[in-house]
Amino acid sequence: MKPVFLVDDSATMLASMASLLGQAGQTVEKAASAEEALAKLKATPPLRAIITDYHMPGMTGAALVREVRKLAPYRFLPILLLTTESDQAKRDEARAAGATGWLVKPVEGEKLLAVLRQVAPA
Amino acid sequence: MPFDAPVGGAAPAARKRRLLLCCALAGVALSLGATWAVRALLGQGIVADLAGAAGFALALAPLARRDAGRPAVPTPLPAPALAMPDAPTEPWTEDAQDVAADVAAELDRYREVAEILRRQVQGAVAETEAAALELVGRMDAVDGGMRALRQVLVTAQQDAGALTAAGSGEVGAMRGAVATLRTRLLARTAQIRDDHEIYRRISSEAEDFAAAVSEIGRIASQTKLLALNATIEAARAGEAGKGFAVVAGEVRTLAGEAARVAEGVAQGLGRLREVTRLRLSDALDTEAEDRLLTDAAHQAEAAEHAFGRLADNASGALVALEASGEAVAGHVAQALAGAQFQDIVRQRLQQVSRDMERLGLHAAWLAEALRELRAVEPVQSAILDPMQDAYVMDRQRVAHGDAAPRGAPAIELF
Repeated sequence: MKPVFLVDDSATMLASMASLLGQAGQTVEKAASAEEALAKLKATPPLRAIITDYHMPGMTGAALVREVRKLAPYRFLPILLLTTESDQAKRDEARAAGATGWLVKPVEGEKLLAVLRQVAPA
Repeated sequence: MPFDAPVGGAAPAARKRRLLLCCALAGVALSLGATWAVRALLGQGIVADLAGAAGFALALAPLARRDAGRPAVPTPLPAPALAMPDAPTEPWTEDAQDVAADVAAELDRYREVAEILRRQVQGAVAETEAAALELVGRMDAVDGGMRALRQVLVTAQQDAGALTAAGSGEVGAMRGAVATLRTRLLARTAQIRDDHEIYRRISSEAEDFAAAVSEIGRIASQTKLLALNATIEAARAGEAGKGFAVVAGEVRTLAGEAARVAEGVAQGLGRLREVTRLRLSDALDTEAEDRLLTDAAHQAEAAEHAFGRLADNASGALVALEASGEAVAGHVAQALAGAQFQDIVRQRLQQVSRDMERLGLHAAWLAEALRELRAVEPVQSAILDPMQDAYVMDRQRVAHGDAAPRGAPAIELF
């Protein structure tokens, strides 16, 4: 199964999401910022999806989506925003950037897995 | 009434009261704001610490003592963000100037207080993060333990299944062997019964024959006696009886011979009867052999049932563990997803931390404005509006005073 790329500046989020997905048999790659994610994407094997935070030091999650969409291998890769942000304007910005979905924390584990299965069948 | 309104016409005492009132209100706002924000976020022990620190700030606000030598603000303040017009300057009384200087010095310390509160909040963030990571680690351990336990039971079930299959094969072979032995035993038993009848008849004939032989012996004995009497009578007859005496002697010899033969036949019949008796005894032992074979067959069946129960128990344990494991996995998943709350709390606390820093800066700016009789930036634009603009969560906006959350769906696929 292709790995899911987790991008979040919260160590807790990276660890808990990695464990949650790992419990479901899903492998993960991790980055603590959008910049680190972009650097790692070049050396990362084909991905199942990207799950990224919106608010991070430096580049936002929406900006990351824009940059990822410029990379040919990831033009149609499912990218989910998992964020505390509830502002509609930022949600619209992510949609315009090419994000696949928007999830407001906290999201129940089973719902997160269900969304992942829906947008990126294994 | 804005604090930058002309004050020259006021009496010194009234002006002093207004200064004190403004500073006290600023202190109250700073202290209550910090306390409320932290209390709204956490129901933990750090609230008491933060509230205590905020109370300390509250106590500082109304102070208007004339003590000299206050500690200076440790770091230089940045320039005010807004360029406000200078307020009209008019000569203050000496008392009013002293009070203003004291109040300004106390306000300077609010930045120090805010920095302490900010560090407290950052400490709380670090502690919650460490606790959440510890929780995630423990949940991983629980999940790993359940997986290992399940693997052990799967292996046990497979072993039991293989053992049962092998045992069933061996038991089947054993039962086949027992059946073959029983068939042979039955055939042998039938043969022995036939032999038994033959032996019984032989024995019966031997008995009859022995009686006849005994009669022959008795006749031989009487013949021998008669021959003896004939020999005596022949001797009494003299010369005329010599020939008869020879015949009588021969008869006696033959009678003795017949008696020895009868004795030999009787002995042979005795041995035959003994052999027949032993053969009949052997036939009785086949029933014991049949019982042994039946026991062996029953033991083989019991072993087969035991293997079956072993496999059933392992299978049942695995099914029970599967059910428990699914429940535990669900709880673990929920606990892992619950770690998102730490991120939510972290972000809210970090914003409170930034707002405290903003409060401290604003207090320092108020002090500067007081010393220089400059106009101040209102709390609304200096603090409240930036706070509101920085909110990312509906709960933050509601806590601030928004009437209702924005209401967008928590999960939306584009």
